[in-house]
Order: sequence, then structure tokens, then C-alpha cells
Amino acid sequence: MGQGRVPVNNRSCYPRYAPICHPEPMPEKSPLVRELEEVVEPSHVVWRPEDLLVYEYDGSIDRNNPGAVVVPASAEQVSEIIKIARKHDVPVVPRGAGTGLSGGAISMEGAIVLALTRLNKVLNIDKENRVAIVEPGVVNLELGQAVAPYGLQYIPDPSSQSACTIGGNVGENAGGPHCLAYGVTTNHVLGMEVVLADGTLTWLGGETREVPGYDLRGVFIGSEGTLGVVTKVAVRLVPVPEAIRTMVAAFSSVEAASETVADIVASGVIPGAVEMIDRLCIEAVEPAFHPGYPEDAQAILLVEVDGLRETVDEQAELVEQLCRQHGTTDWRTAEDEEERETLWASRKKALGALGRLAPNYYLIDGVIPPTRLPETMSKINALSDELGIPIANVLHAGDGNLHPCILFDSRDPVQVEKALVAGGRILEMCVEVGGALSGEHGIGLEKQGYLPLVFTDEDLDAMARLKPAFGAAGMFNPGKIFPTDEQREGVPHATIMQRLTVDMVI
Amino acid sequence: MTDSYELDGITPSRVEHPATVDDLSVTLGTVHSDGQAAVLWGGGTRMHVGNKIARYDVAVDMTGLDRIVDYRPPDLVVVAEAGMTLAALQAELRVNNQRLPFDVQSPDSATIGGSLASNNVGPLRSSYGGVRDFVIGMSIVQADGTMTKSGGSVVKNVAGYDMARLHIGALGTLGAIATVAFKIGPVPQTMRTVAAWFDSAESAAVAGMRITNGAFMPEAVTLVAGQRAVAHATELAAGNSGAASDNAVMLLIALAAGSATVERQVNDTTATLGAAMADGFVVLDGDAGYPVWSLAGEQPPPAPTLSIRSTVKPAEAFDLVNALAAGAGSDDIHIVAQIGFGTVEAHWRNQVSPDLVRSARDAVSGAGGIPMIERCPPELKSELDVFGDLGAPLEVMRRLKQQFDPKGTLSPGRFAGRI
Repeated sequence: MGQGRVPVNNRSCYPRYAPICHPEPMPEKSPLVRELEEVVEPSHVVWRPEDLLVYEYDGSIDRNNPGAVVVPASAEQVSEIIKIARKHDVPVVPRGAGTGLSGGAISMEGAIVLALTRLNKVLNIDKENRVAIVEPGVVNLELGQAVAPYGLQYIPDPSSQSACTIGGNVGENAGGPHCLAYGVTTNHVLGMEVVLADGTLTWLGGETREVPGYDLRGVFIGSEGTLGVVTKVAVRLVPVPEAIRTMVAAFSSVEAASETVADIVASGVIPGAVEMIDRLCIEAVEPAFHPGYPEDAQAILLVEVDGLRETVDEQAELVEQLCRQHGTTDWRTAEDEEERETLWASRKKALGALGRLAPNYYLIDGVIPPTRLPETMSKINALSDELGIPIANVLHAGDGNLHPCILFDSRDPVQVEKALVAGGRILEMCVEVGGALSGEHGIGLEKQGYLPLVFTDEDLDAMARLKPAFGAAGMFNPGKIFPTDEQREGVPHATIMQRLTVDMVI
Repeated sequence: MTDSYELDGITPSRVEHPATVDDLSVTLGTVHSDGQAAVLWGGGTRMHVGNKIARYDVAVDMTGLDRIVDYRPPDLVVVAEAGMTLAALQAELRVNNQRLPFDVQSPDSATIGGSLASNNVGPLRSSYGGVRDFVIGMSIVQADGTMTKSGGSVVKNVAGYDMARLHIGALGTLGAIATVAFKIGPVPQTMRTVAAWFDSAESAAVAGMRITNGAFMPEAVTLVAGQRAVAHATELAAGNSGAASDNAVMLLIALAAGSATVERQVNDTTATLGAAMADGFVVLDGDAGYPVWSLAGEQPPPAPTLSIRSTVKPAEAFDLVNALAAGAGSDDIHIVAQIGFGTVEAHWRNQVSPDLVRSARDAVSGAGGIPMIERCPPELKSELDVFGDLGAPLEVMRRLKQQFDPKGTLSPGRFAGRI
């Protein structure tokens, strides 16, 4: 790669508690910060080490301090900031809500964090053409609420949707439970206004569903902020379905639930969502949200079908039949919207509820073909037993997108090590059955070491050529996605373990 | 032998027929190291698309790469080689009551690779999106013969850049699509076509938008205008003891789902058509709908002299159809508009004059679209960039070509900005 990445175990720019324990001389504004303050009001330029700590984290287990943080109020300001950063040869990391789970919003190499949270307006809702233009800092759920009065909805619904932003969703090509039938972010974004590395403000794609030329929109989505900064997004909206039915089926084994899912997918019915949670998750969410799951259930399937009333009736009947064939121990249909929301809250907030079971969790994102679910779930259970570390499973089962949550206590180095080994082993399992390293969380810092499991040097070199093509070599979100030279040589576990153990046991 | 691979007046000096992806890699490697230029050929149905080629020595006929590499029906995934025709792939899927939910023009000869590279589209894109929305992975042979891949063969995958997107619509100018992994779906239980005719594009527009934005999504809502639409409407009307206007515009609606659902969709659709004052309509069962859909497919010979495609906002599509139908050369025009997607294709058989081209491009620009000239006489192709003005992104496209094909091995000159 030759991206000049800082060694992984050497990432903290500032010791985190240093300003308190060992006061340092008053820091001074750098020339870069002074120039940024000419573009954005000084109150929106963060540079004091103690203030930067707020931006040290995202939703992942990684952390590192940025060189500075700037919070622009317009696309024009974004463009000016990029030009200044370029002049000073300092890279830039775009950031939405920081809910990402793979370290995408963590600043490396002293990069400036460009927080887009003030660009938070829904600019236009075009009911007739079913398109909305929004700024990147608009929260996913708020977009949904804004378009609901028009009888429309925006499909991708990551579990973090009450906090995560549309700009971040574009960066990560985010998914969510309802992507099974309707596709992920790239299928719902028509175009974006972006700032390129030279400060140029331009649209990639547009408000229409297609523009001539190479599909720059398509490669930009999911590029994890490495090619430019999104300043507006044209999203595709779809009508709210006439009917929705949410059903819950309990099973006495994860395998039986998995076989049911494989059969539902194979039957040709493509429900809006097919989600699974296992025993450990049930234990966590039951006291938190009281969804009323049967106490003895080992796995719960949450299936939602939507569309015209007749379609919903037909599909619900088939789903029920398949669940019964596989011996569901308890079957119920949400009676009303309130019950439906409780059921979904139990699923979407399951991760938060896991805090009841262990101080930390490491959430893995991997994908397998749905027919391999039964054997893979068994293997994950066996792995948990073998390592003696609990693994709770929530998954977008219908599209084979696994989310095993490895539960551990970061104060115990032995547990940390086990968590990392388990994470690596699960990803290897995914690759072995022809799956993918990430379904929706991205590669970021978390998985760059694993890419060589799937991609050859040639594959990665081809990908790397996108950066210079966008004029963005080294400019945006450096040190992400691409494996370091050592990681290309192998031993992803070792490097990740080293990095995490150092950080987490401080 | 090489004559049938003629393009823009240039006949290649040789034709290669790779039978495997490895062959393709060796072939391109040789062309590249010899400093020659190659053009990739699928079924040859859309070779008229693109700028005039600058150099052309070797034709690479991809049709030998015609196998299914992996097909796992219960996982809803198929991986096929790029030279396979769409019809052959659909036939294999049909055995398991599955399909790739997009259609292309000339499916019997159009290949997977060619259809993706040239963004070949059919009516199904109204509801299902473009061909790009079904691609989950791709292997590419680079201009120098290096084999690479991106994505995978599971339906959800965000590991690394989504490189496949680059090659969709790229006319084979950044690399050769070798194999493609698709997300597939079930064949709907019941399919019906409602074909309606109106006395003007305005009245068709009212019905078309109501149906497109209604409670359910039809598989396709396609408007057809021009002399062929009038002839077809007249024939259907006569069979229905009615009459069609001299300016008849047709609206074709495809409905597909379970039988109870389709029954209701047909009722809702025909009620909407009645309220919108359609002159008449017929409801056709399953395969009986094919002849009417051929109206929206390929053109009977002789080939048009000028074809322009553009994508505008759905609501603008009707105004664009009106503007084109009233513009220069409208005495022999054929217009197909995929309403939900906003794609409007217009074909003329008239002598192509600067006036005709200007009037057509103005109409598209006026509707907020970028006119892409897909077919035009050779002298016109030498003069203009058929992609139109792409603005700032063109610079990124130039650099992409520089990164992926610096020696100009793959169809040099053929893409936007003559890159």
C-alpha cells in the first residue's frame, strides 16, 4: 500500500489521563487551527487535547485522538476546510454520529475530524418522484419521521437508526433488518453532492435514477470516507406498505430456528425481515423490554411480511406453516402497532441490553449463505464452549448476516484474548463457507487484517487505485480498509490482539 | 471472418475466442504487451453505444465464456460467466422456478457481460431498479490480463470497495467482466399485463403516475408513443370493438405476485385507467402479454438512425415524451419510457439533421436529463461526444481510465470524454 500507516500499537497521540495527572504547558493553536477558525467560527473548531478526547471513540473497540475537530455549517465550508487541510498536508476524516462498529470514524495519522452533525436539514421531499434531498448529518430515524406524513419511507434501517446519520450510512453502505427484501444503502441512494480532495464540490449520480458515465456514485457508497466528503444525499423513498404483519416464533434449538430460516428463504417468499435472537439475548432483552418471549425458548425468530393485504396473508400463512413444520414451540402475531414496536425494540436494542450480562461485548459482522446457517450456528456454539466465553447471537438471519456478540470483561486480559480469538475464528468460518467478512459494518480498522483471507494482492491493488482516481491518495480517512504490509503477510489475530490488548488493559 | 466485428468503420486484424477466464487473461495480457487495442464483444447487440473508437486491433469474442460457475437455488445466488446469454441464464433459473428480476433487449443474443457493460435495460427496471442492483460480486480481467475480483457470492457484502459498480455501464473500457454473481428471486406465481391506450400523453401521464405512486408497485409501467404505438393500439382496439386515436399513446403495466394479490392489482389498475379516461384497455394473462411487451423491446429492422436515451425524474418523463413527440422528426419516432425509473428512449428513422439532434437534446436537457446519444450516423459520431456534458465528474473518470487502463488497451476513445 505504501500509505505510511502509523504502527498500530503506537496510536494514542495523547495519554488519556495525562492532562489531569501531569499538567502540561498551555497548548498553543497551530497555524492549521488558526486557518480553520477563519472559515468556521472558533467555537466549532476543537483543538485542545482535553476537548479532543470526546472524539477519540466511535462505536467500535478502537480509539485514537484526532489532530483537530471542525464542525462546519455548510458544504462551502467543507470545501474550504479540505483546501486548508490539503495545503497543510493533513488528512481529513468525515464523521457522522460515530456509531460505526469498525473504527471508520477514528482519526489516524493526526487527521482532522470533520464532524457533519450541523449539516442536519432535510432540504426537500419530492412526493411525486419519491426522492428526498438531505444533508449528511440527518439522523436515519428522523428522515423516516420527516417522510412518513407523505406516506413514504426510507428503507435502510440499521439498529443504530435513532442516532446514526445518512452520511455515515452512505460511507458504510449500511444495512438493517429490512434490507433482506429491499436492498442496502447503495440500492436507495440516487446520488450525492460530495467534496473531492481538491475542494471541488460536485454531484455523483443525481436526483434521477441514472446518469451517463462511470458509476462514481456506486463506488463512493461504502468507501468508508476514504474518497471524499458527502455534503448532500438524494435518497429514494418507497410507499409505506398497506399491510405489515410481525410474527414471533420460538424454537427449542438454534439449529431448528436456523433450518426454518433456510427453508423460508428457499421457498421463494422474501419477507421484509427475518431476524433471529438466541437464548443469551433473550435473557438480556426480556427484563429490559418485556417482549414476552417464552422462558424456555433457545431461539426466537422475528419475521415481518409487508405489502398488499393479500400478499401479507399469503406470505404469513406460508411462514407460519414452515415454522410449525420445524416444531416452533410458541407462535404469535403482533396484535397492534404497540406490540410490533416492542418486538422491534427488543431486537434493535438487543445489543444495549447485553450490558446486563457482561461489561463489554465485541460484535462481529460476517455473512454466510443462508443454507449454511444451521451448521455455522452450531459451530459458533461449540466455539463458545471450547473457549469458555459466552457468545450471544442476534442476526439478520434471512440474508445470512451474522452478528455474534462475544461477551467479556476488558479488565481481564485472558478474556480479551479469548474474545479476539473467537472473533477471528468466526470470520474464518464465514470465509470457509463462501461468505463475506462484513455485511454492513465495513472494514475500517477492525478487519483490515482479515481482508487477505478473501482478497489477493491483485484484488487489493485494484481497489487501491480508486484513491488516486478520486485525487484522494492519503487525503481522506488514512489507515483504513487496506491491510498494512505486515497484515498482508498474515497473522491478523496477532496484530489485532496486540493493538486491542494494549489499549484495553490500560 | 473479422468483418462481422467491424466497429465505427474499423475492422480488427484478428479475433480471439477465449474459452475460459484464464484464456481471457492470456489474451488481454498479450494485447496489452503488444501495445494493441482490443474491443470486447458479447452478442454485439449494443455495439453502437459509445464514442467513435480511436484504435482497434483485436476483437475479443466473449461468447465462449458461457457457463454457470455456481448455482445455489436455496441461497438465491447464481454465478455465471459473462459470455452467457441472458435467455440461457434465465432458462437455467426457470428450472427451479427462479429468475433474475431484470430483463434486457434482445435476450437471446445479449450476454450478461455486454448487458452490464452497456446498461442494457428493459421494463422491469421500473420497480426493481437497474441491472446494477442485482450484482453481488464480479471477477474482472484487468487491461493487462491480471485477474481480480470484488464482492462475493452472498447477498450482503461490504468488504472493500464495491468495484463491480465501476464496470457496469463502462462499455468494457476499464476491464473485462469475466464472471458475475447475481442475487436472484422466485418467479412470481401469477403474471398479468394490462395494456391501455389513450388519446394523448397527458392523459396517459395522469394514469401512469397514479399507478406508479399507488399502494402497490407494479413490476413495470411503460409508456410507448409514436407510430408503432398507434398501430398497436389500433389493432388492440379493433379486437376490442373500439377505436384508437391517431395520436394514441400506450401504457403497459406488468403485474406479478400471488394470484389473490394480482386479482386485486388488476381491479385497482383498471379502475384507475377508467378514472383517467383511457380510450380502452385489455388484460392479458401470463405469456399472452409478450407480444405487447415487444413494443417496448427491440425495434424491427431497419435500425433507427438516431437513438437517444436519458433518465429524468418520473414526473418529468411525460413532458419529455410530449416534447419529443412534438419535436423535429416526429413523423417517424418511437418512444419508450420506463415510468418508475424515469428512463426515456427515443428512436428516429429520419435522416439525421443537426436540427433533429439539437431539438432532441434540448428537449432532454429541458426535462432535467443528460441526453446520451446511443446511436447516430458515423459522421455525427466523429463530431460530438455522445455522452454529453458530464461536468466535474468527467475528470475523475479520466483518472479512472488512467489508473485501470493507462495504455489504452480496452476500447480507447469509446467512453465519455473520448477516454
